[in-house]
Amino acid sequence: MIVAQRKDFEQIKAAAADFRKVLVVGCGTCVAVCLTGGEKEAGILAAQLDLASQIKGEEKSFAVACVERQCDLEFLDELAETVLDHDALLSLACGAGIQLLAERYPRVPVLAGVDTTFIGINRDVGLWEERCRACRSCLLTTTGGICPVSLCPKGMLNGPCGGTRQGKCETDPERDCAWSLIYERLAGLDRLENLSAIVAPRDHGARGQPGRQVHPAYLRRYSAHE
Amino acid sequence: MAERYDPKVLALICTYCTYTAADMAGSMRLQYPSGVRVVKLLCTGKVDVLYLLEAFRAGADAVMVSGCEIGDCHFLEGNLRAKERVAHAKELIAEAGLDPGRLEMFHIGASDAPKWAEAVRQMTRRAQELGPNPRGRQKAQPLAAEARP
Amino acid sequence: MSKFEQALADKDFVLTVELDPPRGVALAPLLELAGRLAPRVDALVVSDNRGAMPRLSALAAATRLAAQGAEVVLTLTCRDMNRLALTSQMLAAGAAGIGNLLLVSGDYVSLGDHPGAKPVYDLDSVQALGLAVTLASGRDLAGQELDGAPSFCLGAAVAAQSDPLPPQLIKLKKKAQAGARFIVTQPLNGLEELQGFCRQTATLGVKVLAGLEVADPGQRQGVVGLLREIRGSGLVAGAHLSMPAAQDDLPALLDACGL
Repeated sequence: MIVAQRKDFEQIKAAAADFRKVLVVGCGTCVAVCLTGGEKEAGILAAQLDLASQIKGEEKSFAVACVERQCDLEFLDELAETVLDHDALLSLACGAGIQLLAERYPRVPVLAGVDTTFIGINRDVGLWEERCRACRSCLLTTTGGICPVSLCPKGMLNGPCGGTRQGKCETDPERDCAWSLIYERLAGLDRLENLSAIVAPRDHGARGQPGRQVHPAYLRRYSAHE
Repeated sequence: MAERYDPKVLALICTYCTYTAADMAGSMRLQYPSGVRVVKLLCTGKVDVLYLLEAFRAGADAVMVSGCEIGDCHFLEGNLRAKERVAHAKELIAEAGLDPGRLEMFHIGASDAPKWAEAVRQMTRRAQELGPNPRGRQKAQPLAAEARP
Repeated sequence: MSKFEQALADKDFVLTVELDPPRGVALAPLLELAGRLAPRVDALVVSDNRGAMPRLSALAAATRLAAQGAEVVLTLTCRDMNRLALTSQMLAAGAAGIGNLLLVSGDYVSLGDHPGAKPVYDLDSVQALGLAVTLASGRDLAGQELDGAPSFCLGAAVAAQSDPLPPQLIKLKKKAQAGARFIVTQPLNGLEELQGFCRQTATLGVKVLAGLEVADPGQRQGVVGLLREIRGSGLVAGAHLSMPAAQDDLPALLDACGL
């Protein structure tokens, strides 16, 4: 899932300062699971903003809407009528959702209410950890299911750097060294031979940036009409 | 001290303990401020952060949540959850510009009518000291965007 | 074959010292210091933004030192350069007559004085060694033929005291496979840190230089003693001395060591 955190309230308030009618748009998928931008959090933010503006005696209004997924046009269409009544959309979705919302409603300014942090796992209620960088060249088969690209700050592919201390990372004594974890996991699996071959430099140009992925069926359908 | 006024205090209280205490306070003819509006909940575990924000948005001068004594919750930990939510909501109203002292959590057992009366007096006094809710007395608009198909 | 590589092959114990380029453009003091040190050691190792703290380019400093006749080992870090920049720096080093490279990952940026910088790590140190070998073979990483190929004696770094050690050894083996001829250890605290390490690296075919650092210029006696012990132990092929806080005192350190 995508993990995000809410921006500082003062920052959000300042971003919304220029607008009279603001629609806070939550997203019911990843950011709802990480308790940042779901229906509940959108409601809380709108209530806070409304309270703050009432206290200042401003003539503003805030409203809430939440769609299932902001990264999907199908769900954004639901907002078509509501959007017309507002001067700005304050999105609590990840960076992808915010962009699609802005693309779908280009005549209304879109404000970002969260900072997208990473692709991660739900360790516990209230605890998320990064696990993937979407690097497009997954090594997990050989590294015992532990990702050196996202878990090693240097993204080392051939083993630990010299900064590992008692199995911890030089950047933070609390953080496990990814390569120590990989070593232990593979030793336990009796698969240390996975590490013997030199791993070649990553192909950063594999598919070009920004990413685009096409399903064969999509090609079949649309090339037939061309 | 701010201007004299009759604060509106919203009390969200649980049926098993604090509501019983409030009931008993009546039977005992205890005196406490009449500006308190009581909403009885099955358990303070039902209290949501949004309820608390909405109360202030709607003009409450102070809000109190009162559940069972710690360890005595009829639903084991509803009052503990309420306590955490109240703490969180205090931060949220502070960000919005309200004194977090306008919101408080209490734990009042079923037989403790005097404690209930004192809690209401305390919140009323606080609201008097802090003055009326600075949002004013106008009616609040609903937050839910009108769903138009 | 570089003079340093020759020394590694011929001598019982080689000696290198580490020099930081200036934080600024005043190169003259470094050139003067290097002039005094060069005759007394087998190579001057020029550091590259050591500790993730930017200084005058290691390549530029190493080029000037080589021009005045010093035998230089140029350090290049993967932290600050992608494969394009590393390629051009290695070619420039080759053109300047610098015959030795020490290729390291580099301390993470958060440990230095520009913690907000974007770290690169396009290649890791094993892959950087592979790049240098590829260039020496007359091609770049894209397989294109070079107009003149460099020739390098390649080195890498290792944390001999690392715990657990096996992951370090796995990587060290790859470094040897990738073309490292010598290995410089991170600063050691005692001889015992070398013993277990050297037993396990004996078969790798790399020369180990024991890293010795005088962190506090007032406390150099410990390093003097440790150097004597290490030399006497016959465990390693040489030593690498550094005094990051006071490199101007390196000649005095050599005096104290009787070198």
